[in-house]
Amino acid sequence: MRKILLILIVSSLFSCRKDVGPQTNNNSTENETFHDVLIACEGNFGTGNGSLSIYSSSAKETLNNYFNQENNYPLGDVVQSIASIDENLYIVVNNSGKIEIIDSTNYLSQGVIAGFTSPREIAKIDNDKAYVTDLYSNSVQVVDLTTRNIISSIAVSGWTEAILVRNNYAYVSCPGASLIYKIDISSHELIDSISTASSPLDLVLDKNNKLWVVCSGNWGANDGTLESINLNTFVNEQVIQLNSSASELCISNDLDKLYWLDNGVNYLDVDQTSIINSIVPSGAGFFYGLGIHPNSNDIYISDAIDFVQAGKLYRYNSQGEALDSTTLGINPHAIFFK
Amino acid sequence: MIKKLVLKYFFCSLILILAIQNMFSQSDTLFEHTVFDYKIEEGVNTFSVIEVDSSSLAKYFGQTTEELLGKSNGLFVKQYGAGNLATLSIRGSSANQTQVFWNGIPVNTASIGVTDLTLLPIDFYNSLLIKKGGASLSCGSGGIGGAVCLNSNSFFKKGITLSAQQVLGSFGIKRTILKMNYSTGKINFVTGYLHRFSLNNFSYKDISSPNEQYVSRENASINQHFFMQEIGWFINKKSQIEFKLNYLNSWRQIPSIIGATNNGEFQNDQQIKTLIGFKNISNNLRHDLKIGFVNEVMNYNDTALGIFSNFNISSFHTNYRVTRDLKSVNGRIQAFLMIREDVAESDYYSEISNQNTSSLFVKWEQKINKTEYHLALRQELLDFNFLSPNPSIGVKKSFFKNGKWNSEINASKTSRIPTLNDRFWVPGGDPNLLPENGFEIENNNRIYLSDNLMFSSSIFFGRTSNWIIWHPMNNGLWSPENVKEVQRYGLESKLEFEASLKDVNFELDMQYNYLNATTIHSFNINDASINKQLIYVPAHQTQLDVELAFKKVRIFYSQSLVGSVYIDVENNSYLPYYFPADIGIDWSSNFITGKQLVAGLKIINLFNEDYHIVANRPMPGTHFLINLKINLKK
Repeated sequence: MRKILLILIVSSLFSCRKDVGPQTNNNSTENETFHDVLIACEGNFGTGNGSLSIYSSSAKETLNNYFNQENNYPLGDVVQSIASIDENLYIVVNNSGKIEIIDSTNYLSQGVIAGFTSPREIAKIDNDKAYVTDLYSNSVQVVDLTTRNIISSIAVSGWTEAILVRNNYAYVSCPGASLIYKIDISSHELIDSISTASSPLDLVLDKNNKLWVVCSGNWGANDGTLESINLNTFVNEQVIQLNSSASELCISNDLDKLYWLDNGVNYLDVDQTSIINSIVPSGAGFFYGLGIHPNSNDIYISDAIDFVQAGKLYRYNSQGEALDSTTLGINPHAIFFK
Repeated sequence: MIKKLVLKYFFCSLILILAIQNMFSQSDTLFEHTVFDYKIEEGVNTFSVIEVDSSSLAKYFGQTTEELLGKSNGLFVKQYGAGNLATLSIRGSSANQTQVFWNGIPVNTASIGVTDLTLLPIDFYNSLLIKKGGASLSCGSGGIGGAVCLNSNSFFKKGITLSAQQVLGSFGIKRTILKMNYSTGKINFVTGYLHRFSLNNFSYKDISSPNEQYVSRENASINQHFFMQEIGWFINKKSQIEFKLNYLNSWRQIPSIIGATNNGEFQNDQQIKTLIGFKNISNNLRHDLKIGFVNEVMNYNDTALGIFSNFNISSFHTNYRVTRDLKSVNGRIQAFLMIREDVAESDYYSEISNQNTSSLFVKWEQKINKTEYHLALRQELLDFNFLSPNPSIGVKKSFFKNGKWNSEINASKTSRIPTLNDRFWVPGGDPNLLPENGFEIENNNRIYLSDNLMFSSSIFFGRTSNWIIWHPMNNGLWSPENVKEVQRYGLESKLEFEASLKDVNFELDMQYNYLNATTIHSFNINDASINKQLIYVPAHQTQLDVELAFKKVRIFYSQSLVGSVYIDVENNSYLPYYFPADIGIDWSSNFITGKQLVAGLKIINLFNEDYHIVANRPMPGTHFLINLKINLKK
């Protein structure tokens, strides 16, 4: 009986408070370095291991899992995108149906906007409101940035992805319906739409005030396109066949060169659209995200490798020469510059 | 298409049956009992097998297969939360490298190759065998890690027994089990029904919130009905026919992970397992023929996102085993033929997919004095194409008087054929994938230190090549490839002690397992998993079970310790160890005028430990089960 008692006592000792749930060996050190590049690491769907990595292009320093480290709770499931609104960063966490708001300097949580179905991107439309696109809700959500609530929604058809706000309108890509929507941001009314090739994704505005959209095309069909839209007439002016499945459209700081992922990185001059240039060849892994640094025009590529292990960030200069690489979290995707 | 396949299949089976019938017509040898010892028939003597018999199974009143296996030596059950998917890993293998057999019929789903343990009602079986590594070769293919064999055997003792059991517990747990066994001595009927219901609305620590508050689990309820019918016909002392049927209808909600949106997901599974078996002994030959049919229908719904998926998979099985004892040389020879045809229909296959897997297993066993050895070979065919053969060899020797020390050495090669999803999923499936191949060497020792103290241990080493991994291709599509080679080695040890003093019986079992399972080679450039422990493979596991029985009362205590597991391939993140304990008491009355009452109380997770077996899928804290059972016999 004494033995049993002893076992019970030992058991109860072992059952004292301990860590619960996923833990990460933090190999990062905090210091005063300014980290100008943020990478949304999606993590694996349904496992809750999404994270935020931050990188300093001057000190070449990377801190992984930084949201968790600073706030003592995980960021969530599928970290989708990052946007800067006023003094804060808004991190869209897709499968957690929420947007985490953090201070852009110290990364401490400032609150959460919850209640989304499957949010993708957020963009500020006026002083106190923002639009949020969604994979499944068949709507664009209107968010009050002061109360941090969803206040209304704009009905659309299917998956909505990128948002670009220009003058009094928000342009929203709709990959599910192969449309670009034009929404009046005063009345929150859908006023027009234009058809594109299959799966329009990212939107950028060039120096000529043209809206460019990259369409990844049908899955596995290599029929992606780059298309330009005249914002005055809201007419599709140019369709460039890429014969590939393109994605991740970005633009240089002078708004004159378009970059996109097509296994490797390609670009074209917005005034010479007949010539497509390859600047970074495809690597051994899987290029998943792309960003062009607004100051240096350096090319940043996130590599998901096999979508299971920790990914990589590669940095090239604007001539395509390799500068640096570092290890990130799992499935690094969206690249954001502060 | 399906009709043609079914006809083709049954035509082949008919020819086989007629051929066997012809052999039986010559039978003239008497024997005492037609019920084969399946452990001998379906096993290999030099391999150690863990058996959980009916009396041990009875201790798990109203509990589930995954709870039982989770406490067994060298096994790890990956449970996605109470009531939800639970898969089994033996010696660090993946879930689809562990095969489950129901009365000799393989029941791993052909689409993804795994068995959900929560859909196996332990109350319907009277024996469970765990066969590790090459020991599974004698049952079927695909058991690189090993196999679990669930058996329900026919007993022809004249009379009728009835049992009605009700289990009530926390979180709305209700389990009702009704079972009837009637035998005329010649014909035996067993009928069973099990209903499991649970809300599973336990509270858990929400680690996704800044203040880690406790919240109630949502969308986690289950409602499952199981039905069994068995009919055995004791034709004569040489022959026996049996019919077995298991049916289940399972509805369960699928809770989201901590921190994700609750999408109101649920899954409905319907499964029918049937077999007709014929056993006969003639001319020193023992024949065992089984014809089985398994149908699984799975519907998955994500109500919030409007995602629905359906699978309908049918498997047709013919197993024929013939064994001959050669008493003059103290040997035994056996041939075992398996033919399996899988037919699957899904939105994710371009057309109805089917594959034929056949195999022939032959073994020779002989005992010379205190030494036994075996030689065996398993030859697999996939769609009638020969795959590389899987041989095994083993020696078992007894030392000291009365065989107080038994030692075994076995070496075996195993393989696993790709699943239907691996081969036919659209997009990405690859019909030309190679089977995974493994080999394993093991040494088992069993030492009786005294009459009531026994120590057993196993050390093993193995490698598996052509490990199949799904990963993205350059066009963005995911596809399976034969990518990795994995090495596994480890130690399993167990100490069993039993003592009796007058009416008091005391039992103590202690286990410790060590397991190292790492990727040693990969065709992926920059594969960060090289030389790292596989995810969800605990390096250390211990188990302590104590039982004290006094007359009609039994008190038991069970303490597990599962070491931390890595949850990413680079071994940067992990789940902490967990240390749950269970305690229980039960009381059984004597049979008085054919009636017996059994009552019990069990406290699970006694110390209310917060833990996850799978990341962000919480397990319940302290909860109770109350059991009341009435047995009637005449």
